[in-house]
Amino acid sequence: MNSRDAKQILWIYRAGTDRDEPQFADALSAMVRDSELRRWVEQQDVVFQAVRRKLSGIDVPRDLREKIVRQRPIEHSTTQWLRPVLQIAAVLLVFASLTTFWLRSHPKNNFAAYEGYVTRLVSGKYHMSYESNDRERIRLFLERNQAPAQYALPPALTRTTALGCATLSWSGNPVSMLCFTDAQQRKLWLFVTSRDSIPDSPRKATPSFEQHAKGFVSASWTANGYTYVLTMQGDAQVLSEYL
Amino acid sequence: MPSDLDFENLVTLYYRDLYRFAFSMTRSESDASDLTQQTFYIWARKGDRLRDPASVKSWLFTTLHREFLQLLRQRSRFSGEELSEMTDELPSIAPEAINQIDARTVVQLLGQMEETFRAPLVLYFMEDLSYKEIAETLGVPLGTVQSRIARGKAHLYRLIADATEKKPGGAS
Repeated sequence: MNSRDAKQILWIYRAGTDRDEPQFADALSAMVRDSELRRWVEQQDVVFQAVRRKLSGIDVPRDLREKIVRQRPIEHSTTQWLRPVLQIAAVLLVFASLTTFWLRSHPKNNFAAYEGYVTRLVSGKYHMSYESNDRERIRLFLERNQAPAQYALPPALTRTTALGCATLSWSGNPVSMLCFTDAQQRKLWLFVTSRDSIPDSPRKATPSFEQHAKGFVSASWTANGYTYVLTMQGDAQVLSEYL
Repeated sequence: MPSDLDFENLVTLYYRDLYRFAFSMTRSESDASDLTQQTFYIWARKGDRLRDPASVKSWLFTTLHREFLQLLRQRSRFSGEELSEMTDELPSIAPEAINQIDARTVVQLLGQMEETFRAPLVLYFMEDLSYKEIAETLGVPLGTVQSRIARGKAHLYRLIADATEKKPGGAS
């Protein structure tokens, strides 16, 4: 093998990583006999290491690790030992639920149950799947994760700042939760799901209000195939300012 | 299924490398942060399906790359410079020339190349992955990956040489 051919082969050779790659064996043997080739390979390695150092020196945002850990989905926060116990409990729960359903013939998938679920959720502890003030990035995240993303926000919500979103599930159907804060630091949550997810979804595009426990109020309406629930702590008058 | 500790350890181990890989391809801090977060988010939901714990790193890079391609498709931004065929003439740059430019310039120069060359090249430089692992991560044949790395590297070195020549006090 001549020096020119060896250089072509060794052009992508990385001294630290590729030593055992058989494709370089003959060219590396040629290097032992050819001092000019050896110098060329050594210089290539110096340049390679310099580029590598540059790329490894890219600054990483300081809070990125904490963001990732904080935004971990809730369902995976269980410890390893608890998992089999929870799986058995889940099977029993499903069985009990099915039995109850069968006996009562009373499906829980109705709009009142859904509205109660979302307001209870935000009145307790919950995780955001993605934190951002950028509404388009939030939409993109939801789209990527197969959650409703083609929603239309009430125009008055543009006065608020977006905080992030979460992907949820209701009766096996995806739900998008978007979180906002207003100038008084009050939080608002918008839940979006397909109208078909809930049999008795509101039919009108005009919001109707409902008061809930812990001082929460919700407004619900249906438009463009989606059912929306906007909720916050306060009364209907305050909430109507964001519709 | 990873425990809390496993997840946090995994994040600690790989989030920097994943972010740098993402930043090298997107040249945007926000996009790189999003892609890194999205990758771990998918891991938290689906990582338990991975049977071989040794391939976690490869899985994370593969996932991030797939998400990056999806991002490109969503933004319809699949444009870039076509690279010329590999020539016999291998470019030569002095090690000192590299010291004249910073990491952002290298990333900018990488950004001038088409994604099909950029991703293998970044993995080639940054990660101690074998060519087979790079090929598996990107889902392309081994020979294709090696060819893209060789051509991409030659192109990058020419861009670096041009950039340093244009800088005041750069090589002439």
